[in-house]
Amino acid sequence: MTAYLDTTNGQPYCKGCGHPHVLDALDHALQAAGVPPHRIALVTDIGCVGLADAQFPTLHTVHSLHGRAAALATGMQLAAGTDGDEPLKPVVLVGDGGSTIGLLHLVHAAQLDVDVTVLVHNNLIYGMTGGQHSGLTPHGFRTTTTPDGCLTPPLDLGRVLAGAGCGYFARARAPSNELGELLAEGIRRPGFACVEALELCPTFAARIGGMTGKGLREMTSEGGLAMGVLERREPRAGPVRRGNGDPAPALFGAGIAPEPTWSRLQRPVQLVVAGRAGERVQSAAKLAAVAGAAAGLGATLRTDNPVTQGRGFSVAELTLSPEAVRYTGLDRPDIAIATAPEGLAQLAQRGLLAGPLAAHRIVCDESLEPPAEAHVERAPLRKRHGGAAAALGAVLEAVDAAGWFDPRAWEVAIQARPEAQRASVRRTLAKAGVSVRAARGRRSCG
Amino acid sequence: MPVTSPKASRVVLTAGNAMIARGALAAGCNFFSGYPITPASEIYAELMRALPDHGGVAVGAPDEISALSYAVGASLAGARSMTATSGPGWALMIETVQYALMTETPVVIVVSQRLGPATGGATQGAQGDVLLVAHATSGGYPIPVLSPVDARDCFELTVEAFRQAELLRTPVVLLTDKETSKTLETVDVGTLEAATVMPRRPAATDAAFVPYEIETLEDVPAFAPVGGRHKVTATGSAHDADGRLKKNDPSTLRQLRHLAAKVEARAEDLECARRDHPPGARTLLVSYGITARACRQAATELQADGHPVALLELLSLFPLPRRTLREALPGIERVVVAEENADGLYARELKPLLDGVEVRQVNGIGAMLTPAQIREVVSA
Ligand code: SF4
Repeated sequence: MTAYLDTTNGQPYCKGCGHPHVLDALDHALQAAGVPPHRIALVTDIGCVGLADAQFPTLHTVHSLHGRAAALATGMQLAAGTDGDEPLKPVVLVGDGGSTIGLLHLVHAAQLDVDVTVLVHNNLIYGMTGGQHSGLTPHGFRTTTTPDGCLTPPLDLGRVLAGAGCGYFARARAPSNELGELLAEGIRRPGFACVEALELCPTFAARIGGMTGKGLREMTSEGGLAMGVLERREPRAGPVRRGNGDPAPALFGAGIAPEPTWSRLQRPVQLVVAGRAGERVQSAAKLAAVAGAAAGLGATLRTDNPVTQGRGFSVAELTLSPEAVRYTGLDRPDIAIATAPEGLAQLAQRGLLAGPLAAHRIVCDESLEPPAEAHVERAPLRKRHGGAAAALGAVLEAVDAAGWFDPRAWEVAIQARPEAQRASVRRTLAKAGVSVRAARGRRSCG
Repeated sequence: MPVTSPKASRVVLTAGNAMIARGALAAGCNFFSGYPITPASEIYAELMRALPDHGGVAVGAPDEISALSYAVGASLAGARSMTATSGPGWALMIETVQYALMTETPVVIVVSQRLGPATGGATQGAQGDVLLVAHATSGGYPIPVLSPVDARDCFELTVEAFRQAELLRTPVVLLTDKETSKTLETVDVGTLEAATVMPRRPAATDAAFVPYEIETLEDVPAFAPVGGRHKVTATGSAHDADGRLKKNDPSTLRQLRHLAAKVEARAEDLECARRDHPPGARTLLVSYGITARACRQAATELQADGHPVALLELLSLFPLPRRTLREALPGIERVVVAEENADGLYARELKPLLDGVEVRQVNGIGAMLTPAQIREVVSA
């Protein structure tokens, strides 16, 4: 079997660095796992660890932004995982620093159980940037940024990832006999695997922190850091939903074949309906928009509600136009309707009840108390239609009275609704006194 | 302009976000990664639902950095990929946008604007991100930016965004806004053109592959996917044609110049706009996104009052519309640029191209600009 690791030009690391040992183990593991070389992708993070790219001249190498190697690998695997004869096997090479800044990517890859292997080169510090402490630096360890020793406990990647449902986690020292075997098992596993290699950075961890090979061994024995395979679970079902291979469905539903002779408009008209969240205010306006479309009109519908969508007000602003709607905002609407106090307050806030922007016709439920200066028609909307259908009833009544389009358009809009909703809409239509059968004489308004 | 054509009309009531999702499907998008944010969230939900049935993969990410990194990783493996966000999410994505640019990896990023800065007003529309998206790279490398005015544009310009991304091998932004994203609107889908997007140019199978090989600065390198038979080397570090890390070697500096040159050389082909120049018009009303609709209305009203005004709706904002302006400016004495931000952000970019004409601006935040505001500035 060919070795993928090419050291003919030597290795770029400082003397005594642990990285070459980790790469030896990786080379061994890649060969042992038997993945065809074109289906291996080495995704390397920033730092000394990223110098590995050049060492594997026959494999795909992607050198990432700092911390993002696992995220790139995840996207790559999800997209290409099912291509070709063999699954794509991204192997992420990242340091303890990259694991710190990109921790969430490791966590999410573990949650997805995506077929990515993460090889963490943990030498306790950031090497390339000058020996600073990382999230994995041991408590009390001296670094260039912790002159009195690291003040925080180290992040235990195994335990963090176990909490994310990690399918495979193993830890070993580099060099060691186990590392390659553990890595090979991780790569073979058809799902996420993380192998943490504990190793020495002589330039910083040894020179400043006083770490030695013996020190590393003591961390694991006396320090209580668990070694070997710490998590091993059955692979879970695919991390994303996949189609069943049937032909793709049409991009759009049937839509409506408009009947332009049903339009009665010469100019754009606007209707605002405002009420209480949960009382189908926006749905009422939508029915009118679709009915308008059935009559060959252009329609736009802006909606507004508080950020907590289940309570407070609900407002819908409908524009119908014999041409495509140009401006979608309100400009002295023809009709404004309030079915609940929350809605009335919204009409007031928009200046639609009185003053220069006041709607031409204002209808509100009889229970509401509009300001005295507003010219408001009060109607028993809630009593007649019930709270949940008051907005629909009011919209049907007002649009029918305005005669914007032939009422047969309502039936087309009702047909466009899901089956289960149609009967109740028709009942409201009847209560509103709108007849959808007989076309009326042609007239124009606006 | 009539709403419906006499033949094959099929009208749906839909929102810009839904049309962006459908446009992506029509363009052959087969990877989407998302993270929720108002006002772009419906694109995410729609593609999580629909993409698997179209043979693609959609995945939820734990943050926007992951979302774009997944999309870029997927594209490196050959997928046509997209993500969607708003200003705050774009801010988190900027480093990865530069990575896509540097590695010449196509990706479409939808940015639906809301009022900023910071969290700003999640449900308040705005056009305040126009310079933030265009000038997101160290070194000022160009990012093509498209900008739909209505729901139909949302579909067509999403297709165009994929075309530009694949053609140029670079990230492309579809810049929309809360109003365009979320307002429901009638669209005659029976008259939409079938979309065809050419894939990025594949590397020859029988020749040696040099990942970033170009003959001229303007060339777009041939593509080979990670996982294919050609050995791929990709890196966000300054690199030569082989993808070898080199800081200030002449070959590296040439690759860097190429990142701009490949876009600039095709700049005029990337321009999209709609314009109308009625006889006698001396004023040109320039806008984009939601504000272009207020301009349409203002121009209609001015025309009715006997004051013809020319209209220019910019559907692509970057590269700057040099060709479009060259065509639109003859006979024009005054240009009015309208956009929903405090000081006229895009107007700053346009002004150097508007030498010799009077430039006026209509700006504002917190509400859509109105036709009345625009008329007032035009008539002043
Ligand atoms: S700085 Fe440390 S990690 Fe980097 S190459 Fe030198 S010894 Fe290895």
